[in-house]
Amino acid sequence: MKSGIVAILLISSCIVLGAPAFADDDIDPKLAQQLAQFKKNCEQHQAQEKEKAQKIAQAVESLPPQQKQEVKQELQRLNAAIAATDKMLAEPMPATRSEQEAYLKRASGAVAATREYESAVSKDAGIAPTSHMEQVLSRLGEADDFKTKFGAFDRQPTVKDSELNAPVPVGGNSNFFGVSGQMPPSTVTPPQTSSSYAPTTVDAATSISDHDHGVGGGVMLEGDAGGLGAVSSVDYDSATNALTLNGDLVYFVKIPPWTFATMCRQIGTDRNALLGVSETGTDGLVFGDKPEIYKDSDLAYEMMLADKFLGDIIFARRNGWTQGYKFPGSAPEGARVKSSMLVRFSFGNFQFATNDGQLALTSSSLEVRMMPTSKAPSPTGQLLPDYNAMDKGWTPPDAFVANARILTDNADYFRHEAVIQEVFADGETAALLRSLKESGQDLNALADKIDGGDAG
Amino acid sequence: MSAARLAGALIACLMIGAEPAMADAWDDCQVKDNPDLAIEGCTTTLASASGDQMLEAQYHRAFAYFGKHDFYHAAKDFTSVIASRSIAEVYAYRGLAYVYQVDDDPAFADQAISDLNQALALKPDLDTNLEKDFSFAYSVRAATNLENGQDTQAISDEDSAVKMNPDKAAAFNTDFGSAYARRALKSLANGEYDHAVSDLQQANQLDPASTDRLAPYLSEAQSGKPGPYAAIARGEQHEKDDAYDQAVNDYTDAIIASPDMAQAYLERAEAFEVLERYSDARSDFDQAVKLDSGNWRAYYARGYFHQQMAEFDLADADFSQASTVIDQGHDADAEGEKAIIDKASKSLQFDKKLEDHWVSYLKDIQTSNNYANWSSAPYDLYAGRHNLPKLPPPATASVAPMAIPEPGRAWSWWAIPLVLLIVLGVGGGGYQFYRQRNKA
Repeated sequence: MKSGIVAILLISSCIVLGAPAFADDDIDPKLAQQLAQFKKNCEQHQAQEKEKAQKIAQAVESLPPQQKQEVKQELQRLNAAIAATDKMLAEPMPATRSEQEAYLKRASGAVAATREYESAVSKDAGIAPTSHMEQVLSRLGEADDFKTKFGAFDRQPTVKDSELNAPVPVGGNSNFFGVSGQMPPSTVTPPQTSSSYAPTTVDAATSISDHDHGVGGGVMLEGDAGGLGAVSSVDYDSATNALTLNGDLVYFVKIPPWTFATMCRQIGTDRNALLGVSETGTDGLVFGDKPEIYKDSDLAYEMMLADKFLGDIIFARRNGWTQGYKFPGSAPEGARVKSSMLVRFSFGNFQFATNDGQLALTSSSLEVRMMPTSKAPSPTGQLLPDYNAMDKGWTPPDAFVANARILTDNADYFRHEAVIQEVFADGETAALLRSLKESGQDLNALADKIDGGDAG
Repeated sequence: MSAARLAGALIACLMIGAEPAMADAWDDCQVKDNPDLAIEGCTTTLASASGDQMLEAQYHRAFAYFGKHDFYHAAKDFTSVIASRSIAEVYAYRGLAYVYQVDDDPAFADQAISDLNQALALKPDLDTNLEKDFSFAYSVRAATNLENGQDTQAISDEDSAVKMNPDKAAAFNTDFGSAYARRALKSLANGEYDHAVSDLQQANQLDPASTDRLAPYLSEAQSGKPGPYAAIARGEQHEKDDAYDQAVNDYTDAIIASPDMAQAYLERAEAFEVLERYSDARSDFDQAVKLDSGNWRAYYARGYFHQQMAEFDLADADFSQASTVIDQGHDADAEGEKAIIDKASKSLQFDKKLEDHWVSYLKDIQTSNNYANWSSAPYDLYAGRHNLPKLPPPATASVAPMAIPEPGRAWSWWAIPLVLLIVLGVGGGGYQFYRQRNKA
């Protein structure tokens, strides 16, 4: 069928190593166990926060009168926050997977924010930080000008609500999980994004195919953490969803802990630390030696959404997901192709820097490539590049290249789309984990620690 | 492969005393059950190899690539080996590497057959199993020759294919029959009725299963007058030239000549779909199904269209109906047809799941007012296109009541996450992660 053929020709991602179940509300036992454990973790941290609140209450009595009054007010806020979180944690776990995950994100976010606030109140109460993590947290609290930069909180160009104390809307860089989404701009430099469209040569296609064990387009998270040296130790703090590296460098993880744990297992297990998916094929494609590790995870779906969204831009699918999207400059234009091809989105070149005890991202990149694919699949069903076509000078339709340039010339614009931002966050985390793996850290053990909620 | 073994022995001697890393690479290069490792090892070896060592590494790497179905690189390495040594098996395997690329480019069939002949010249008693696989190259070349009007060579190639691989004779005949049918339709489109008749008869003879399908074409060709089937044939030719607008005109001619011809509507619907004229496509798909409700392909095609339009329930219904029609038909290809529908249904379920996630995402970014790049509320846009209810307007942004009065120190930035925390904990509010993927 004509329509079928056209669909087959345009592969906005790919390599079938597994058939993702992706049953949204069929909780597999492992995930169910993981989620139940995370709720327990939240409850344990709540208990710890209550103890700390009591210590603050004792310490506050010895403060000078004016400071005492201020800290008492802060303490009341802290107790109100603890009470609100208690109420949330008293709710039973919802039935479905998606509801459970949503619930736990709220609960974990609440716990993290409570801990964060408690850290500031503790400092004001004169209680010395007892760990490097607490020291970093307490320093974050010094950003007193944050409130006046309300619009900058989520890096929006304009303040959406002039109300002084209005809640910050989700957006920009703030909809990440946990503490990392709540840090003031002064503590985290907005990362720079470079991006490019790269014509694919036979050598480049060979290199990609060898590394990925085939090709399939899609969204690939690649590379390690530039700027991070050898890491001799890793501790995980489940209350703030953060890592402490080498005992003195804190990194706030931007993805939920259960996704973080899944990512640890995939990168820790795969021979090439592959992490990538394609939304095409009969039921989606997941890269890696053991795609079952993450094929039905949030992580895989998140990347598939990004893949389809970006693929719709490149292939200018009129009936696709970008209907109603505002494009910077001209809108993508379509083209018809007569041979199979794919587009590959590589998120990589994650560069990090340290800032006042924190490890933070400074830059990253998005590379777009297209290549023709052979009709002969690999023995495991993966696609392979059509090297002969490339040898003969194959190029994608001009319109697709122009569409790719709309994307790469305006990477910062598209990065404002939450799903793209999330994939950048996934890529950042993956890069860090690859560096930890290269330093000899046991990522499967780290995953167990994350699941178990061990505090660092 | 005695030459290779000799070379191997030679290299083994050479490797004595070599650097340990190189020795490891050479060991890896010879690994049979791990092509990736072998390729890496051979490539490392080749970086510093020369003479027989280089030849041997290229030989092993060629087979490793072959094992990975990377026939392009396999052929390159086999060619490098052939440049130094004429080994029958190397010619044969390079030929096979070409055979497996004929789907990408039929011109490889010629190179494959040339290599087979070279291998047989070097070794007349070549493994017959190797030879058998070359039958596919002959079959492909037969179709190419027929298309180019070289009938004698085409028939000779077809005979060779059948002779080399009798088990596949039926499939080769079907393919050769299809080649005749394609040429017949081209002739019919061009008004060359005698040629069309002759080729259609050949097609029927080679592939009797196609007789019913081709009967109206044959009948029209025999009449010597242009009719709806000539128009359809013209449309198909125009599609091959990427001229879908003209194809639509051809199919329209067919409909005018035969208003109840479901096939013409189906063809035109698919051309409309390629042209992104979705409303026209929808109308024609409906008409095709209405005119020929016993045709599973009509339901399948419409189902696929609905799937592309994210109309998953309609697609599901069409695929189910296609399956029912196949069951009722009991035709010889029922098993294959059902497999097509099963695959389509599986793909549909995946697309539906992905769409559900996208819809949740749109709801979340709309609820959290995080859609600066969208022309308006994104879920509402989606809902409008799919006749779904829009989301209720968000509650006016307000600060959750604090437990205590505003302190003299004024708010610190800590208050912001705290407010969020309270809003989240007590009132829910609009702070949602798109990953929540609430059920619609």
